[in-house]
Amino acid sequence: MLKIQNLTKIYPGGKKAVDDFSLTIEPGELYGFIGPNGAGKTTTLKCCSGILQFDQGEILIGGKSIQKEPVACKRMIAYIPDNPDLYDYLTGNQYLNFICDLFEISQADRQSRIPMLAEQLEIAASLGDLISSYSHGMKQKLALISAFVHKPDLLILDEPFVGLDPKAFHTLKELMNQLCKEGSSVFFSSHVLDVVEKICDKVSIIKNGRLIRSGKIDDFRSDESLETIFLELVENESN
Amino acid sequence: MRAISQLLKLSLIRISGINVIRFSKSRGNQIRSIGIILAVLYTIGSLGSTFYFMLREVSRYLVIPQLTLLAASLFIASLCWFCLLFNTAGGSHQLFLGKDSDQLLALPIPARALVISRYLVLYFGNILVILTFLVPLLLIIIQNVPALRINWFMLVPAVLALPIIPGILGIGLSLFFHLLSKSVGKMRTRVLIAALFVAGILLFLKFLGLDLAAGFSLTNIWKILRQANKLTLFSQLFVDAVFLSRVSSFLILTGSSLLIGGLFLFLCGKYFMPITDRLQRVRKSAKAGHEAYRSSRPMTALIKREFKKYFSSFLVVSNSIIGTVMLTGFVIFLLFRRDLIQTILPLTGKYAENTTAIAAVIITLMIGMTDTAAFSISLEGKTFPLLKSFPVSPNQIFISKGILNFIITGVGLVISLPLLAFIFQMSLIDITLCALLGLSYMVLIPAFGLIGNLLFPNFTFDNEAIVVKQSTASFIGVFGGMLLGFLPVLIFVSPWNTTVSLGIILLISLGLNIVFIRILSGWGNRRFLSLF
Repeated sequence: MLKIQNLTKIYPGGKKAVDDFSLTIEPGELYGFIGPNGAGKTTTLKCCSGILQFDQGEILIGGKSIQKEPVACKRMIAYIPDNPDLYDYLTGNQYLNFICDLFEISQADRQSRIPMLAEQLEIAASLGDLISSYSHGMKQKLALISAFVHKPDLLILDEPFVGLDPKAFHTLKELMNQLCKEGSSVFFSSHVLDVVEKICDKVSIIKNGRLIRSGKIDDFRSDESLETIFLELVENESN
Repeated sequence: MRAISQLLKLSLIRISGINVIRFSKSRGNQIRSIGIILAVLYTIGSLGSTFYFMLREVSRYLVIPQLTLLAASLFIASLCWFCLLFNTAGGSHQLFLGKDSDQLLALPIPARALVISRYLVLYFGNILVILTFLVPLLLIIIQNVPALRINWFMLVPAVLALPIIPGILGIGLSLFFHLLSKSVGKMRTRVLIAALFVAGILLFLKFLGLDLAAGFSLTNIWKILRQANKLTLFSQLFVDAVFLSRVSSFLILTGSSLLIGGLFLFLCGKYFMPITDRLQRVRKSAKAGHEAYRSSRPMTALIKREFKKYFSSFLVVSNSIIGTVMLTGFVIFLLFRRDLIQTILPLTGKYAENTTAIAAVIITLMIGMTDTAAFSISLEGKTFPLLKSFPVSPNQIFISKGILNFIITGVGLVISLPLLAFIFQMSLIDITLCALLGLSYMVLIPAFGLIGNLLFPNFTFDNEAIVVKQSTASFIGVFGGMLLGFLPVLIFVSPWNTTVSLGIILLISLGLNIVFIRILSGWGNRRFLSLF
């Protein structure tokens, strides 16, 4: 579903945020992406979602290049940033309708899916209010509904659990699992290693823009917890 | 006191951008911050000196002390009104809804210190403006009206006292409207403000005893000015104290200002939390829950979003639509005062006969002065990555932004062109050519604005006014648009007749359209994708 080949991204000023990074995510896989602050996680996710352009390498989504066919690729994905800056001047309902319009979701589908997701994430009563009045967590929930409503083939999430209440936290895990069961893939970054360990099929660890290790979650946790392995790997890399 | 001085220091660092200059690693950001400081100094200097030279010319007629006093009173009155309006514009937000309020209140700082420090920032802003205009006035009075002696002892305290009460009134008014909008809704509050504004103007005219039928004779204007002067008691107190050395006026001015200022700060400090709580309260929508989701095509959805975004901000609308509103209003005015055309046109000499060219210039200038696209990409701000993540091409986004401008200026064209055709008795072919020229400009101007905005985007701003009025892209949009708007002036010097010349101008604008659209669909697309 997602194939990153030798991705390199250099920011103006010469800082290499991602360096020769490669990764493949198969359909139906739930893929965790971990690393210390400033490791290049967000940059990689932004490159995958077509927000950032990159200097070298290739990103293929469903076999299509994000650089050559950006619109076709974006139609297959949903991206949730770490900080949900949404359109404050719209109401929750207007925002969701707008997203459905862009992804060309039928009226019947949006009438059935939006209320269902809103009930699950307990935000239904606030959808008529302006987004400017939402808290961080509510914006995050709205962003999640906007992502799940069009059933993307690839869901990319940057720190999705930040700001969510425990119930929404649980619901999100369920929704991600459900999406993968339906054949879509989920690629998300997180610092909550327990969750990554519990729900992911595969995981990648990145540091200083370079892939340190990736593989099946079972291979990681044969003896020790993911947290211990993560700390060891990051420490070794520093030395 | 320490808390207040620390908070003031914090505000100074934020406003001046001194830390960006000192510590930023980006040379561009450093230069931008220095540029902002220089621009502020330049604005103060140019405003002050322009005012000085203007007064110097006018002072030739103001040598009679009585007349000078009246002029000074009116001038001081306008400064009081400025303080009132300036603080009404955002005083209550500055005081009660600072972005960092929560962080600061979590520190061991009393709410009163927070209020005082923030009020002082507003107060010094008012003082700065007062000095910018007062210093030239005093210089002119010293130089040209020796009969008026300035009381230097009273001057400084009087200047310091002058903005206190008007400023506090402004903050109170702003607070009242904000609290009202929280309880009855934004729309009803805006209607009330508009009604109060109209009622205020009518009352003002009634108070002045303005009789339009009497015409603008010198006696009439003199009467109106004397009457207007009575409106602001404060200006009279200031003038009495500073120019006539009246101790009672001085004591009333400074004493009442200190008393009201002190009382205001005491009460604001005490009720800071309940007021901020009220201001932050969310007004729940009557339409809670789900509504019927109506589907549209992606392009329509983008256009609808542009409209909602644009019209959600009064500040953005009022600062960008002015060209269309002004010139459409001017055309409507001409319709009712066609007699003025007969007076004005002969002043333009041989060009007077070419009314079609005048109509063409009015139309192109009207469209050229309204360029919402010139700041529309910057206005996306922090949500720009969100826009980039949608499955739409940059061209679709450019079109949606262009269509907003197209429709706004289109309304102006639809109203103005038939009126101009009627006023100037234009021929059918000239009307058609002007309509086509207008349509061409309605595409040309936003395309030009978008190129400017792609070249100089600014996604990091605290206030929309920075993007709409002060950004490089908006300068390019406004001045470039005006320059393009004056293009039909060439008709006046053209060797061909008006219709042929108008046709040539139309072809030039179509050519420019092709060039700009090609730039946008090539370089513009690549530039859009590389931003942020």
